[in-house]
Amino acid sequence: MTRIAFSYGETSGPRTEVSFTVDAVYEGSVPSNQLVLSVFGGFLPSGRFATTSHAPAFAEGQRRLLLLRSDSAFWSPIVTDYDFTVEEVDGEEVVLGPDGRLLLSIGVLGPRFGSETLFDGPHLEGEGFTYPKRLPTVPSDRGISVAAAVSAIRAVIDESNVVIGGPLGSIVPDWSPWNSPPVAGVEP
Amino acid sequence: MRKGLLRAGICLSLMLLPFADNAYAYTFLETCNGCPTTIEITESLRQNTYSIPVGSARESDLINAHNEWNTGITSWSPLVRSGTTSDTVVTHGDGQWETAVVPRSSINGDNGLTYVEFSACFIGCNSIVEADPKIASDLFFGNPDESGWDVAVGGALSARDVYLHEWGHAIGLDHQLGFDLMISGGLKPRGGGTGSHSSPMGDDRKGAAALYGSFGTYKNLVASGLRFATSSNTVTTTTYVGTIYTSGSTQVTMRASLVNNGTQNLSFDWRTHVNTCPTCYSGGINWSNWYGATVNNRNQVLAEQVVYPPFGSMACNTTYYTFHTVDSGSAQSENREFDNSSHHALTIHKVCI
Repeated sequence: MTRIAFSYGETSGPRTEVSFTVDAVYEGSVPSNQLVLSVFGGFLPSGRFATTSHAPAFAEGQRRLLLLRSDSAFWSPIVTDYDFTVEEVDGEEVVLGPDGRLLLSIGVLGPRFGSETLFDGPHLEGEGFTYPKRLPTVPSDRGISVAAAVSAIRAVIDESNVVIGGPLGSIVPDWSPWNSPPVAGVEP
Repeated sequence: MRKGLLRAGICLSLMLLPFADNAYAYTFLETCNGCPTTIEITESLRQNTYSIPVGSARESDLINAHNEWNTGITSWSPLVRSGTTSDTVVTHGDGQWETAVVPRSSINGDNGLTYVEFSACFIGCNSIVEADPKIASDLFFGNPDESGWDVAVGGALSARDVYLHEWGHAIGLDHQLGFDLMISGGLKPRGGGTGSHSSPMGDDRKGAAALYGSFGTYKNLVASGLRFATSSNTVTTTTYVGTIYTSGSTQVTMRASLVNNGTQNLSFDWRTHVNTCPTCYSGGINWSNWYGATVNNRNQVLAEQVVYPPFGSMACNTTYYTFHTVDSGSAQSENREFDNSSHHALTIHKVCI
């Protein structure tokens, strides 16, 4: 992850633009190895900061392993729960969940993490994101490697009958303006 | 009868597995200069009556979220349900706090999503100036059973659980991993008894207290038919799901979550029993008793026993529901007593030939 910037668009609202240099594509394709992902969240014209309860947090310099979506990407182009960070712990590369725990496996119930929090953050702090801090915790479990995580994600995808491919989803929502999504009336 | 009782006495083993407190911490949606972002003045959450009609099951679940988060948590209520709007859209960024039921496709396919807006962060702390909690319209609206897996009343996850979760985001809490409402994804903890089964658990209340100050003395124990499974980091059933048909030679593993979501450390007893209806929370046939458990405030334990059911006292060819009760002797005078007994997803059918 090389750069994080905020923008605002009349059709797509406040955005967090996250620039990546792509190391590897394990399935499907991306338009370029210089990839910009746009996630909902950023400054409004009023100067206030808008986000959602499920917005991913980023920090410049981080390495991430992501499963991207090709359907609507207005809120986020990342498939919920398939957003991992790659860090080094004691000279060994490890895969972590969003709350800094070791990824142990991925199954039908989703990712499973270790019990200790190894890194604090990143989290939203004022106008940006904090870089994850290594905590003085010792993991009691052994995490899986990037390669094993990719294999496990592939297996889940195969079981779900999801087809990998297509362009990245659009950040323009199905409704207009961006800040007036529909509600669901009660069926008679 | 004697033989059955003797077996129960010999084979009873019970473990209390306390969870380390630091494994169940709360987190905040945002901080500003290290200060957690909170609601600064009491805010009114308007009900979108186009999607949550007055008198509907959807409204009951919203009222439950309001009541549960504002009962015994804070010395003041940062967010209250007040006012309505009948729009066919929910408007973000208008300074109005609004909640609605929405198409799942409009919230990323998730069960719920809360739009949150913060004031600028310069010097000192900032505040949440708008939050619009939204939940998916295809969830089950109602008060599902505490066993957690009763498909007939809505399956594993209900709108009531999701409302409480999104309400937590609206007051400034982020996800946390544990036996708490703020766990991301999947099933949420539920308490037992005759009232609402969905309620904030230990660290939910601890997080709210960290944001909004001391909430005075609150004393409450909850029995839950669900547990936190460390093998999958999910909330799941405490025991076997379904009916065991047995003539008396089958041991059963009973697991029970005993939650203390109040402010004091409490000692209490634990009773298990069987009975012939899913809401027979008291009486019935005694299975086992255990005394002397102490659970620290805002924490929970997973109790476990491997035991023969009380076959000697059970009627032939009859199905029994299984229950566990905390403080069955009513030694503690609690703020709410109705959630002390919970029924499990396990039923036992005594087969007599």
